[in-house]
Amino acid sequence: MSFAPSTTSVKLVLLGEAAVGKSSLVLRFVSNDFQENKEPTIGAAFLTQKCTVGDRTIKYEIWDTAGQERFASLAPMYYRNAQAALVVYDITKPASFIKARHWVKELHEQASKDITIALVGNKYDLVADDNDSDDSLRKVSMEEGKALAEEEGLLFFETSAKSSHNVNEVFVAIGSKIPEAKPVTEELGSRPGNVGRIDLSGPALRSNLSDCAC
Amino acid sequence: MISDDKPLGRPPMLQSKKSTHSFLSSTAGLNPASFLGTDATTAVTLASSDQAEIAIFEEGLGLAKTTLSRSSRSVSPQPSFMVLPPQLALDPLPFVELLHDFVNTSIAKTDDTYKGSKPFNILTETEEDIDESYLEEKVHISKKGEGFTAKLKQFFILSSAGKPIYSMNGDDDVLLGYSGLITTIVASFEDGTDLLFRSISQNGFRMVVMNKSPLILVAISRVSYELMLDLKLLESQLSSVYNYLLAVLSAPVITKSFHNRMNYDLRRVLSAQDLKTLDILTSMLTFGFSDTTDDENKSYTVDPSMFISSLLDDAVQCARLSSTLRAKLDDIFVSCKRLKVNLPQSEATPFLQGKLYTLETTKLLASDLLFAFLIYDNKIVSHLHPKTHCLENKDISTLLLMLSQLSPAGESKNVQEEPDLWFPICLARFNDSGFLHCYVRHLHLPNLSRPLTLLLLSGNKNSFFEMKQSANYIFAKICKSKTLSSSLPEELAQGYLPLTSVLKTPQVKHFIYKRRKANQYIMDPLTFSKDTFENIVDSMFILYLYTALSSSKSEEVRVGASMKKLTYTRWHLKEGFTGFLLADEKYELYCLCKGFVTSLVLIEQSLRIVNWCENYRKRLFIGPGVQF
Ligand SMILES: Nc1nc2c(ncn2[C@@H]2O[C@H](COP(=O)(O)OP(=O)(O)OP(=O)(O)O)[C@@H](O)[C@H]2O)c(=O)[nH]1
Ligand SMILES: [Mg+2]
Repeated sequence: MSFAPSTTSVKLVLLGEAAVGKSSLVLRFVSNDFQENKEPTIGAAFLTQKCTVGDRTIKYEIWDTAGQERFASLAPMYYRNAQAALVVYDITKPASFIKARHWVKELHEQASKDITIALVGNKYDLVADDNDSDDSLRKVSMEEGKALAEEEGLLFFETSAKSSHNVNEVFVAIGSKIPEAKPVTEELGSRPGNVGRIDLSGPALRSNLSDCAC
Repeated sequence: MISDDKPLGRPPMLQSKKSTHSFLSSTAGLNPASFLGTDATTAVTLASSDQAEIAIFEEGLGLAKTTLSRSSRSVSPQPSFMVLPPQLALDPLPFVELLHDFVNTSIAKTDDTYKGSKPFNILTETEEDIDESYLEEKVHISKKGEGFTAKLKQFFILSSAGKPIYSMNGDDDVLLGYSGLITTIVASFEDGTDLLFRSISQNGFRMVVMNKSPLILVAISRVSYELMLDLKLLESQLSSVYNYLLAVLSAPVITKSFHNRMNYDLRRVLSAQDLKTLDILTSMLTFGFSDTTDDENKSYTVDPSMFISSLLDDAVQCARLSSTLRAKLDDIFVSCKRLKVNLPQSEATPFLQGKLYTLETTKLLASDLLFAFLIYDNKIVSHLHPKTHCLENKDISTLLLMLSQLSPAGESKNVQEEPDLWFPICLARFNDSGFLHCYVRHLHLPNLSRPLTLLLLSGNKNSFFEMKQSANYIFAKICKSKTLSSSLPEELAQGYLPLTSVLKTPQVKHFIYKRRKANQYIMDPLTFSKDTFENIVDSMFILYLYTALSSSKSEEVRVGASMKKLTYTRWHLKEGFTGFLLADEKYELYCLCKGFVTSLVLIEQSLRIVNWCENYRKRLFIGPGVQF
């Protein structure tokens, strides 16, 4: 690499009803993989992934939260300092769209004012072939999604973690909306508190993440 | 009500009767003279030929003076871990003699000739054949209403008002009736008395109730081996189920849910995943296997250890590891607790030191860390806890159950991309009204098939990044240490070698050894390599034999200052089995042998196991773990 692009660290949180495919989207983004029977997330999972957007490298610090109702009270902990959020619903489940509305509202009320939110209708693969037929699995139309996004000032995508349709696009779009921030200086960028006397120069356990293909 | 009209078949199990302690009373089996003779070589075999010496004590039991002579035979070269230091040749001869006496008397009272075996159903002690459709009908969990009463085991979680919250089997239609009936029985019994309703038992049927208002937990069993024991086994199972409920909900959430509305449906708070975990738990606790079928593939996990743990009063399993390595891991935990990090200027707080205000510029990184575990394959490798607090085994088991429900480790193609997990858990015996926060990460060591799992339990829900940094530190330390990175995988992999072959006790097919004080056990690794159905039946067979052994009448004898408990049992099942239990205040040894082994072999081999386990207890058991 001849000249290092500036790296911006972005805290991103995924919210949405259980089983809409949050973890699957992250798995697609981070590992370019998909699992038919992904087990529900318990609590939350933290991952990082770098992504090149224009001439910038964005390092996403991703909180993939659990959709199960009983973890809902923990959500503020994850979105409180987030610069970006993915509010995910399942386009074959109307209830998940209602839940998505609630999350958008809550984020606007509770999260930081300049948070970038993307509304994501997932499982596009299930309806991709039969968009017009009457017995389509689709229960939330693209227009409904778009309308909500416009109303609330959100990015909008329909994705499929399974076919990988639009997945990288979501992260690139978010990346381009995030203003340039101070460069990352330490492993846990956005977090105060440098490791003082600890020698962490052991094997880099998870530092050679490859850039994603976006 | 569920009842079983079939008369219980008599198990072809022969129990020993109390033996007279008379030294020469044995008449059948081995002639005592053949092993108490003056033949020094035989004498050595008795107390394990690998021992350097046999200590001879003559006081204590008032037995006839022994004619045994001290062995002068030199110790044959053995792998170093097999050589026992002299002080561990801990079996005073009278004890060895007494064992022979006991076994021979027991044998004398049983019929020595193998009668061949009729088909024997270990679940009901009848002659009904166990095949796949039998398991389907009586054992496998089914949420259909139809066939509900055929199941041999039932678990219910009900609200005090009689609303079903969880049931191992059946659908709402059948459950509503049963729930009402059970709550009525419990309520009408408890109304008239100050007593808590505990159980109903009758021939081949037992119902045990745990009243944890606003919940009632119920277990109903018609499984033969569960009925051999007292109520404790089913009660322990119920409290495991309750402990899991508390782990996900905590006591105040349950109470609050019911506060105003006695019919609150707790099912709305529990997720589908929780109910699935309860299915796994109840099936494992009863039958030693669980259904892990997903949409496409039927699959079962066979593992008798949960049942064995409740049979052994919630003892937990530790990973075998040399004490040097364990000490190194312990040191890493302790040093992690002491790590300091610089505080950013803004957080630095002035504090009074002497008369000067100075700025506190560092803080402890892991100040919120309460408990830490390194786990390998569901066994504890190393454990850290505060001086003032210990976790009870029930809580540790619940934690391990929770862990097994997280995404199976190592499924990600790229190890680097595995996430850090962070979730709340209520460890009810520790504190049933609050949540701890659990950080989980896997470490994949080269040459090791499974990952090492690090669990860090913190009291502060906002301490994720501190726990993550602590984990970075711990893993870096492990990987940087030459000894640990090379020997740890090697030793952990060795944990799968059958101990009976390491110990050269070929007659003992399988054993369990428990240290009482730590309440931890090890068992010979079990390998189930046949097809699923056979593995399930084999596993249940092991549960049957161990339960039968531990419920058989035992004899207590005094050896010096310690009371020894002895049980000898034979089963005319399959090829024939011999079971032997040897216990005192320190340990419990459960042995299963194939065929009817002689007292000589049985005693020599079981004492060898006891000696070996006591000698290597530091590598076999972690004890209370390391504290800070
Ligand atoms: N057909 C299809 N299935 C998907 C897609 N994304 C996820 N799934 C499936 O939907 C199920 C749930 O996916 P998860 O990623 O676990 O959902 P989640 O939102 O993380 O769920 P929680 O962790 O419980 O909140 C899994 O069985 C996935 O395989 C998709 O784009 N198309
Ligand atoms: Mg998830």
